[in-house]
Amino acid sequence: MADLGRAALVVTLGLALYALVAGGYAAHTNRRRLADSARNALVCAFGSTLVAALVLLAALARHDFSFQYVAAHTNRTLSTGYALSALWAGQEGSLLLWLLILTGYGALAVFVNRTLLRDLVAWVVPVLGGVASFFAFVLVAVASPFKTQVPPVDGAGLTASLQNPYMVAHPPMLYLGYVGLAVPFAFAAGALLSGRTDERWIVATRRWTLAAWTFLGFGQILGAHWAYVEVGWGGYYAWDPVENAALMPWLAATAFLHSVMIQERKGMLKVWNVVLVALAFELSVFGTFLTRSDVVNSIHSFAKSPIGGWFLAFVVISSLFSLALILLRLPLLKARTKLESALSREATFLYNNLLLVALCLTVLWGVLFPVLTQLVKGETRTIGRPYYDFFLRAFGLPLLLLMGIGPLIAWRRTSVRALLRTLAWPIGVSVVCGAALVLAGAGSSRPGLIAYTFSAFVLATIVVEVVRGTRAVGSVFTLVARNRRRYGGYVVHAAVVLLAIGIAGSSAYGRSTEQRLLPGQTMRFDGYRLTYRGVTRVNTPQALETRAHLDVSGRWNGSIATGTNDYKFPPEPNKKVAIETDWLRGEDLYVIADIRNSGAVYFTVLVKPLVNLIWLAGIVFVLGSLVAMWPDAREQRRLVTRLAPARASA
Amino acid sequence: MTAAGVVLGVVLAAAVVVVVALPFLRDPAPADDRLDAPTPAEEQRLALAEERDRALGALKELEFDHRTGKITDEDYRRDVGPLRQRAAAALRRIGEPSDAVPEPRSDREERDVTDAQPVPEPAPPPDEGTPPTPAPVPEPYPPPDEITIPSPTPPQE
Amino acid sequence: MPTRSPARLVVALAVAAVLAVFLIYQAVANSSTPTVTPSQIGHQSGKLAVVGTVVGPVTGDAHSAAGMRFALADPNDAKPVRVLVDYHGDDPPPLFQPGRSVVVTGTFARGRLSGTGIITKCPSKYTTSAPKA
Repeated sequence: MADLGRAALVVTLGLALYALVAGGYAAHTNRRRLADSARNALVCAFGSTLVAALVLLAALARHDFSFQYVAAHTNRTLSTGYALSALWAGQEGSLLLWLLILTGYGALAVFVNRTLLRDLVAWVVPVLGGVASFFAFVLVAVASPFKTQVPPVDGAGLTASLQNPYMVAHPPMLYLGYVGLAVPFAFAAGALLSGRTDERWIVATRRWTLAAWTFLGFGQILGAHWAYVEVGWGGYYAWDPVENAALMPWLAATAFLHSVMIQERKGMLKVWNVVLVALAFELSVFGTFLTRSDVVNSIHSFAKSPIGGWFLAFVVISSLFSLALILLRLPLLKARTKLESALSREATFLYNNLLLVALCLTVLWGVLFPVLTQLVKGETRTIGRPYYDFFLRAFGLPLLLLMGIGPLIAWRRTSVRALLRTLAWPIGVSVVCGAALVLAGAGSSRPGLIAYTFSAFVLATIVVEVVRGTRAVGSVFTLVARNRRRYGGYVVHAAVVLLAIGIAGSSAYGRSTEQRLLPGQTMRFDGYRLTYRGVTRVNTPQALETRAHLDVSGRWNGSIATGTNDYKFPPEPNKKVAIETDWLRGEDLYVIADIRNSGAVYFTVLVKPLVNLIWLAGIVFVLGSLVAMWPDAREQRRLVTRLAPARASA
Repeated sequence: MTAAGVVLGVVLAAAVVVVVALPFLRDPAPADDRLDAPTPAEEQRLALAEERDRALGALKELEFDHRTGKITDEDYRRDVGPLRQRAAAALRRIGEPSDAVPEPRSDREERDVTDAQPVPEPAPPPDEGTPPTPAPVPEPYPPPDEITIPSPTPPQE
Repeated sequence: MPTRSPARLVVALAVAAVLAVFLIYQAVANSSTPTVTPSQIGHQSGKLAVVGTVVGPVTGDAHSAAGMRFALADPNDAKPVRVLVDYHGDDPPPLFQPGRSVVVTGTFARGRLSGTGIITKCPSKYTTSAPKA
């Protein structure tokens, strides 16, 4: 069956190359049947990639250790669910998943738009074919998941830390995001290649971009939650290069989603938008390069992989292609109108874009700094957490403020008087909140206090918008139904506010302590009493589970257990922290134990206020995106009327 | 590879070839093999349609912003006239009925404006629905293009 | 005479402000740390991040006055250089053990690294493990 998988990937490579070459020729020479044939080839590429993926999944489910990949990432004791998730546990399998999603997205995008946007799709097909060709080539020639061997008795097993529901969901979510950004990129490139100046590519890819952005954002939240509950260091984001690799394209895509609205309404920022969509796509591929090479030190990346160089070459070539295309088509991208006022919604979108791109480039600088210092000075220097924390505050807090101002400012221009009148209530609410927070002791952290106050401001503006809109329209249901994009966006803004409050609370106002206890001894911290009772050791088929038991009283009453699991296959220790959530106070009691053979245990106790708002933000974020993406029959009819070829007059 | 795998592979390969060649198999000798690329006229029409949607959308947004208090009555009165004229012009250029919308008055000539019909509710922009009948907006005087001007007296011979 | 919109000026000033924030921070703060392998330390001293493989025996306790002691070798033992580490701080991650690739941050002086932070790397997802016999 490995031969079938190999053959399927070779077929995919052939089909993708056909889509690239024949599709490009057909679009250039205006040949309908050849363009349709190239489009069909892209659709078939999804089919053949699916066959390859099913072959590997079947091998994983059957524990067929004649496949090197299966032997390296599973063993006989692994449950079927985790065995199947091993598809994305390793290099080759995750690349196969990437190609599957890419061809799937591509097939769907060109199929859905084949009638109304036939001429544009003719150019989109070779672009997607080119990207798919690269990934198929890597899978066929560099990192094949179908290498075989004499099957061993048992496999190496799946890394213990990956045997977690969040870790099962995190990579597919991220890939659906990363890869999804290829679709708007392909449509933008297609529009430029075809020499069209209209906004069809934006309208066609609006929901694709939103979906990819949602998956990427939610995938990061899942990863953060996994790090919090599973890795056991008390945090959820370490500004590691691999974590940043997902954040950067998300920031670029966020900027794009906002600025594209200006292009639709005003015909402005055309160059900016194509640059942004190309940047988002290149950063998503660059992120893959980072995770699979040893270019920068990361807790996620390891021994050099042979595909790093190939990915770097692809990023360079595709970036140069995008740059050349944009420069060539610059005359077509002239703006129709100008920015009328620095005090307008267009202007606030511009400021928001500047801050988002600045934050993105700041993170990119931090990630690349070690490489650049090595190249320039011959010594590697890494940038630490304080750098990222500074810029998150420097750019993130003004962004939060703009999130509140933007919705209440009119398009084209607003007078200062009108703006102040509209913002009166939110400003009042935030001042009152700020004062109350200072009285409650939140003044101990200035950035935290500012974040909370700005969050109150944004929430108040959202409420004002909904109340006024409801008054104008009649009912909130009608308001949202007729303005899904806008009000779905407000729900997403509310999610960002929850995220900001959760991050500020857990980092700026978190407390921690460490103490060594012998059995029977008690420690007191932040209104909690923790009494260490003793250690238990349970030997299971999978692991030796060692737990230190504590009785907790005070702000919460109960018992907790924390320690380590020493897994047997593969042999690897894994921390098991104790987390107790006080929903009333909105804080977590987080306890880590370092158990010594002497019977003493070093307990690290952390109190993390409001951290659970971060996870709630993920759910609200998805809900808001769904509202914004929800199809609108009226809008569809309008678009069909606009895009359908004009009938010849009688 | 097992026999089943070989058969599956052959079947899939054949299916791929057929699907990729389908456009040629369906239409071996077409009268016209050109892509349906928009003609210059269609591109022009599309550009005008986008301009129309933008103009109507801007008008819709102005009215919504006014209704929700984001702009003052003065700013609304200042902006609504030019936006309505822009919308009317866009509708005219694309050839849609705009007889209900008065011609914009130029600076150089007076035109008869008699009992102008109220401006129809503009079509909503791409991402916003049709608003209901707006709540009455207090205006001390009507906007410029709704002023009723009596017919000029014919010149005395 | 038509007046120019101030919008472009304001946007340009906003861009300049963003750049200024970045440049001022880079000039004022010194938040980068040299990252070296044991063989690259040479005559350097001060704050360093040392990348290497843990060499046992690992003795002592990170919480005690004497600290936890171990050595670091070049990754893949490229050069036969060892750096002695005295580590004080949070418990090392559970994956920390001899043979594991780690990054130790701390201060290097008089031939020893006084470590205050350890990062261990996750087992590789992206290289194929040797199959069991």
